[in-house]
Amino acid sequence: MILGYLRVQDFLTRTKGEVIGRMVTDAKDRVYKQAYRWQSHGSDLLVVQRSDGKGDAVRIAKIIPLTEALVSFFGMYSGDGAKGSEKVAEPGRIVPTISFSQKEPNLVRFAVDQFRKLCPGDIRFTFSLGEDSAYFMAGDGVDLLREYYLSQGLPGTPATQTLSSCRPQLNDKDREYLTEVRPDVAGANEDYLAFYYTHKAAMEAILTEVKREDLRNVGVSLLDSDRVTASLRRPFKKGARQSGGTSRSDEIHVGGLNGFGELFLKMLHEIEDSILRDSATSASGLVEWIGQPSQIGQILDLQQFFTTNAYGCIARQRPNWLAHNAAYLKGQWPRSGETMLLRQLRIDPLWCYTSGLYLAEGTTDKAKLFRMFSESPGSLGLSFTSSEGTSIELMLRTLHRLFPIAECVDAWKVKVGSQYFPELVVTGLKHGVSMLRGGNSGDGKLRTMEISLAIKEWALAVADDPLGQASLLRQHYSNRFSHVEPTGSGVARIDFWCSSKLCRWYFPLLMYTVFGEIVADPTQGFY
Amino acid sequence: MSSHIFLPGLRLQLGRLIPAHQLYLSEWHEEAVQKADSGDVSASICLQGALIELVQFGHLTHDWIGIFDEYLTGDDCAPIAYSEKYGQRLYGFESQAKQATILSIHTRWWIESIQKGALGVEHDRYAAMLLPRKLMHGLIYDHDVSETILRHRMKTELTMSLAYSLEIIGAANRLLNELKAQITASLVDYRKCPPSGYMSTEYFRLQALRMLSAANHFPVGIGGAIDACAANLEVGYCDFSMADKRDAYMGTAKRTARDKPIHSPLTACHVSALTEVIDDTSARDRINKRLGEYSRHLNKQPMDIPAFQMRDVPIPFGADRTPIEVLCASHLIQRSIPT
Repeated sequence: MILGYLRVQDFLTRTKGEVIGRMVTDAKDRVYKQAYRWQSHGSDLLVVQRSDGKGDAVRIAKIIPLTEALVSFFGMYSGDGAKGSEKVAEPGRIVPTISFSQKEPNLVRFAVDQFRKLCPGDIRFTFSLGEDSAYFMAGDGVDLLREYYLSQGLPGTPATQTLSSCRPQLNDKDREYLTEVRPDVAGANEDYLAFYYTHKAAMEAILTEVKREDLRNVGVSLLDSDRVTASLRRPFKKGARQSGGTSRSDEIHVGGLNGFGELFLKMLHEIEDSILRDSATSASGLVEWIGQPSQIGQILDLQQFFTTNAYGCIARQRPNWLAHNAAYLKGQWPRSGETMLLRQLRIDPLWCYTSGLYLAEGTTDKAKLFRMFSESPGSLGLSFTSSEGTSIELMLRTLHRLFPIAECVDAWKVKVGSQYFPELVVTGLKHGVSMLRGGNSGDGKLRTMEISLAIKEWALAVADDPLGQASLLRQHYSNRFSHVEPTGSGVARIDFWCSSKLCRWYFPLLMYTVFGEIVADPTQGFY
Repeated sequence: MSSHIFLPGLRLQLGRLIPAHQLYLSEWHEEAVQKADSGDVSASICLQGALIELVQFGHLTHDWIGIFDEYLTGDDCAPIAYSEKYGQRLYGFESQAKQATILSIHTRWWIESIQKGALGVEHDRYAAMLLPRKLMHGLIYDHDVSETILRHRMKTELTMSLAYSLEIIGAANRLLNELKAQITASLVDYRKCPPSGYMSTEYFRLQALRMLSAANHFPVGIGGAIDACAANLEVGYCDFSMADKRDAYMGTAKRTARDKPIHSPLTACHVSALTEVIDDTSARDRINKRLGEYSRHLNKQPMDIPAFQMRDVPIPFGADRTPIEVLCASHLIQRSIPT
């Protein structure tokens, strides 16, 4: 169903090709701006390029229909997509690059298809798999390495060479690595660096094949211009704290869109902002929904959906209906709890956008969402983390569309990365207390309530900030704040979680929204 | 005249408060007392309430010991940090809120000392709550409340807990030579308590070493660390240097580049106390000069007590003004006014 349009040509004409916007991500407030020239290419397409002639000439429709899938894609990009990097010469301004972090192969395929629909020109993809080379030091990684060497005709994994023999000339990054201190990791950096260089080519070859296999399994057809690469990090450089540990990161870099990033970000922000404000037209007119966003989109009868729709099953089973009244249904999945849910759901832009956003940012194991229709997914959890008030508000609005308000959030906390521990300590001192951490490694519930309560005020203000009024978090869940959790890294972010019994209702509807028009029967697999 | 180890230099007696501070402290105190009366109270609130009364009235006007007896005493008669009702301020935290920390023990002990005089307090009873219960690895800290291993504990917690404990143990005459040696050795052990560059950590280290008669073991280089805490601040000092901040995950400063320091009256008081161990007179003069400028700044803008923020987002991350900060600001202002 078409929910609205991106009126690209009208927008460029009205703004004289100037695109400017502001965005706050990871608590960084930055602007983007670009000037474009454009010309028609046939009756439906434009060719858009930076007005200074630099960058790629990108083909794009004059009017882009916003389907459920495309709105979901923008939601997904909002969570997993790159927003750009800051210009060294112009602090506070970012130059967007278009790339996408996602490991789950079906979501990779979905993103690739949407990119190709959005920009039907000469775009190309580089699929990259990044991994910490510590992965190959124990466990599955060791087996993979041995199998690789066997396949190359060697009797097994060769012994690690000395650093001076496998890496006679160290570069700056090598030297920096050798000086780094990792209290959690036993052993010598020199030995780890030697392992890295001894097996680098083998590890890269293994990971490249892993990625190729992932792409083949979901039917991503690689064009000649597409590439698959692997990127090895030096051992324990990021994420992995022990041998055999993984910190896999998968990226899709989209080529052929140089200079197009600002316009792409503008589309994303105008979609999100018009949904947040429930406005039929975005501020610049780039987005035009077919009506007020909350009043458009197909309406699902939820009892019917979970009784007959191919997406309304889990492990090929359907829920039982226990009761209903004018507003609510009461249902129960096998081996799950009774749940109240609204009788109808409108698949409106908000629902579509947050479906993609949850697929990107939600903490649920994505693989389970793809296999849950045909087999038991095991335990499921529904939780969401964001440092941005807009995302928190949109997710809560979404859950309110489906469940009674009191049922939507079990509790919430604030996760704070290690680089902000000193700020937490000072916050405690201002109240006359020291900071007591929880758990053996200190990443449990903070034991000092004064600090948690002070940070709660920050979180509620962050949630309110984009709205200029009390957020849903403040209105309904202020008293569900649980604690501050000191964690590995990153800016402070709000993390809420829901009862697991909600998962079995929310996830099928989410998957239907994103894939319903693409995959008819999810029990038969996706791509 | 009363004093508190947390607030070096402050004379906790009836004194002149500027109107803005007077108003803030009165309002805070009134709200705290009201909530405390209904059982919604913490040891830190009792402490701040008592501090306010000492500077506003010259003596304690509220029955904080009664509050402790009623709401802040655990099953084993040890003072606890949070009342049952206060514990409900966090969702699902009630069971964990009931914790006897060194700070809650010290607060009860200190208030009792103020109320009854040092001779009227059973120091030995309080010392027995710390020894041997809180002694581990040659330090005294809340390992029974927070099981976090030593390496991941906040360094300020370690030195602060130790200084508070030693004050009580010393009052009970239980600071014997063997214990002194054990603790001093831990306090100068680089693996346990490395020189941190955090003003609060080092201030409490100094206090602890003094009580151990071992101030000569205070780490060198505090002058440089203090200077680093002034970087990127027009006035005053931050508790830590932004340049020293590291993301433990990446081990780099990359992710901290946008963070901003804040000045803090409390930190200025800690810095002032630390100047006593700076041998270089020019460095000491430079720091004292900056402290004087900060006092004059506070005299002009007495409520300029900021909070941190997350990178560029101008939303207070944690507290800005608190009674402790305001009392320290008031002290600094009074110090700057010629008598």
